[in-house]
Amino acid sequence: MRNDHIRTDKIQIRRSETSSDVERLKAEREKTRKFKKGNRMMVVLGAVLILVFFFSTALFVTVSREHFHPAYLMELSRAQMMRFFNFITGAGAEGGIQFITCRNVMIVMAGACLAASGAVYQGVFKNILASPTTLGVMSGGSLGNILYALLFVSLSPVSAKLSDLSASSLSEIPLLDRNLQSFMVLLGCFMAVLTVVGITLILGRGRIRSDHLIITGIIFSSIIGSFSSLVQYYLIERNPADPRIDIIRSMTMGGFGNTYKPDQMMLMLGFLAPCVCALMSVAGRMDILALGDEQAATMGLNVVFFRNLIIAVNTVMTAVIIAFCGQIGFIGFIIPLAARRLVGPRFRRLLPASMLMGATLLLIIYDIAHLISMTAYMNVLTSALGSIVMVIALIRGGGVSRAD
Amino acid sequence: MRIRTGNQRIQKTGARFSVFPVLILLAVFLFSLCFKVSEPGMIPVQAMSNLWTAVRLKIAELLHQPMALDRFEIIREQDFYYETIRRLKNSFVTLLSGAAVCAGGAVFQTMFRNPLASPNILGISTGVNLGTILFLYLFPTTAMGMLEQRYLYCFISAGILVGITMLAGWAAGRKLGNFSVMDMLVVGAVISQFGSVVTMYLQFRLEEIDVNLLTSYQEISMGIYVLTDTKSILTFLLLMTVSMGPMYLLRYRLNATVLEDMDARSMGVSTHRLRTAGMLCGAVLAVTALVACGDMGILSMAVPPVVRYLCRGADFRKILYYSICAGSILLLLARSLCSMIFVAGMALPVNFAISVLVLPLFVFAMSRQRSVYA
Repeated sequence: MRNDHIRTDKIQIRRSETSSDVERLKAEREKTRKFKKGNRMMVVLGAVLILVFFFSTALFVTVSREHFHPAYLMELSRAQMMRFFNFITGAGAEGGIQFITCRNVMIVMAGACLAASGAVYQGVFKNILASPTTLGVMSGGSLGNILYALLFVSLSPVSAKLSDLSASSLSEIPLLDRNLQSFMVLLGCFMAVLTVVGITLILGRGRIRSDHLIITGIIFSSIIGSFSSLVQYYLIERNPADPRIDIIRSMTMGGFGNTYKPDQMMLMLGFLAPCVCALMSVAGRMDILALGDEQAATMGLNVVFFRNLIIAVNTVMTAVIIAFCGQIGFIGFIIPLAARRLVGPRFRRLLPASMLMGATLLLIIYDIAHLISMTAYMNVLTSALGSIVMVIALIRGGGVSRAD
Repeated sequence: MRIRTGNQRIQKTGARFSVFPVLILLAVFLFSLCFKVSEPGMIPVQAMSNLWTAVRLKIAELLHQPMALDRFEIIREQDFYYETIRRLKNSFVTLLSGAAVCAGGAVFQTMFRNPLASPNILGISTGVNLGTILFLYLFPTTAMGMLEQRYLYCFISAGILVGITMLAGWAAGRKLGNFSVMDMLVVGAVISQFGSVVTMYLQFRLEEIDVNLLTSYQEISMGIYVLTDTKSILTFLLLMTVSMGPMYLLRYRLNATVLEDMDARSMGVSTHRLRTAGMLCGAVLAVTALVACGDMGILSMAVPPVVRYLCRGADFRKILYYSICAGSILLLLARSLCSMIFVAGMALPVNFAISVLVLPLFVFAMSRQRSVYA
């Protein structure tokens, strides 16, 4: 009797196990299917990026409106492709192909990191408005640039000569002097983020609330914006041909005109690669952080430490890009939206996907800018595209809460 | 009804307004009439006597008295007569535009229950700047004389930007089933960022045409240049009346927009229509003020929360009244103080002074509130 009872119990248990097993299997199969789909998506995105990179390196440099004839274009492209191939295989660099490749690598890095930082900010603060622009990083960069222009740019003829030096003698100038503007911008970005986060801490009495952070960032940006226009006004009133005005203004438009040297690329890579690695290594914990402060705390995460860490890493990433390439808006706004549509909200997928997509998009935009000769005004193009995409996404997705 | 010790009386249920802000406003107005560094040697007594002469001349002109015939003789005897009149007009326009900007901000913030939902975030500031610079770009030589076109351009560009913001917010909300302020704010932030980038680009192009044009754009947008001719003052007054009238009539109903949509509807108030009306009025007010007085959009965001904090409540009638007073006082004060601060040989632009002056107050008021909108 007793044994029977136990046996029936066991059978029942087994039966229930089997039914739950089927469900679990189904769920796992679903998960693997999704995983494979995500993998496939990643491969496709990577392939697209490589393709676009190849095209914009080998093809688009030769395009200009003056010589728009197909046969001529084909011939130029063939020659350029040969040069690119030679450069890659190490056979030799001719026709400035190394500079073009460097610039395109930098565009890829900039796009990737801006998109990644946008994705991280949006996910961690659970707010679509959170991006490098709204948190005051970009305006801090422009403040640093203004300070550089006012303090370090001397108007004597000697310094004017310095900019016309050839590349060989330029490398003899120490690194800090050569990239002084970039370092000032970097410093401005860090100070801005420290200020914004500090004010937010004071506002929230020791806690960081995302709406406080965004409000403070917007206000800080508007103060810096009015300061910038003030400085420009004074400079123009005194002397309209002042070179400092161009220094201040070219920063706000963004561009890759100054960034084509291999040492700049290595400098940028040295800053950016550790940041990306750090972000990828804490991707799982960012998922937990996105659940909300209390949930994350109950799951054993040091919320304050992690959030500060993520803000710091993100700031370094964005600031380096701003320092070298100027302000390029909206990449961090739109790419995470699209990437979340494609691969879902988990950071382990979202970060690489948005990096690939951001790099692709920025390359394409640069090529278009090249076609219409607006490469010095990258910010205009990215903003135009970004605002249109953003508005359409919001309308079709049904609002912020759904677009997340 | 409240019972007091001593004399027992029934109190009226309407909101009580303090006269104190109006008195301060008058004092500040007089101060701005009397003191300005730009005309050295002019003392306050002289300004007052000039104003008195102007009033007497105007009355004489209206009543056809003999004094009006030799008015040029009288004016020639007075020192600094035209300077005083200009200063009066300037102060008057400043007062009105401060009031209008803050009234617009108060309406927007009350309707959307969010301090960020102010005209400058929803794209009005950027729209006005964009309109001004487009106008300067299209009519480089005759721009400053064409008042109607300037108003037209600013209204159209601000209308387009705000329209896109509202439509996108509305469309996003319709999909979800209810109207969401956050969607609209996001769209507004995006649109105004785009607008400001385009403005910056047009500044480059403007400089290629003529540097003086760029300077005049900067003077307009930073609030150095103020529209003070009679025609523009009359236009300002007309637009302000047109938009303040409905707001005054709707002042009780606008309180209902603070409620949830369903609650307000059950109380017999159509929030949709009310929102449309309020938005139109607020937008017209803000655009008019910004055209007349430069980019002061930050006032519309910062003043109503401070007022809400000081009043300890969100009654629209009170908020409107005190916001108008506070905005006028702040703008007048900032303008007259800025004319005394000289940086690099030029007076400090008002825009910068306002943002430095007001934003700490705003942050303080926000920090003292428990929720974002209280």
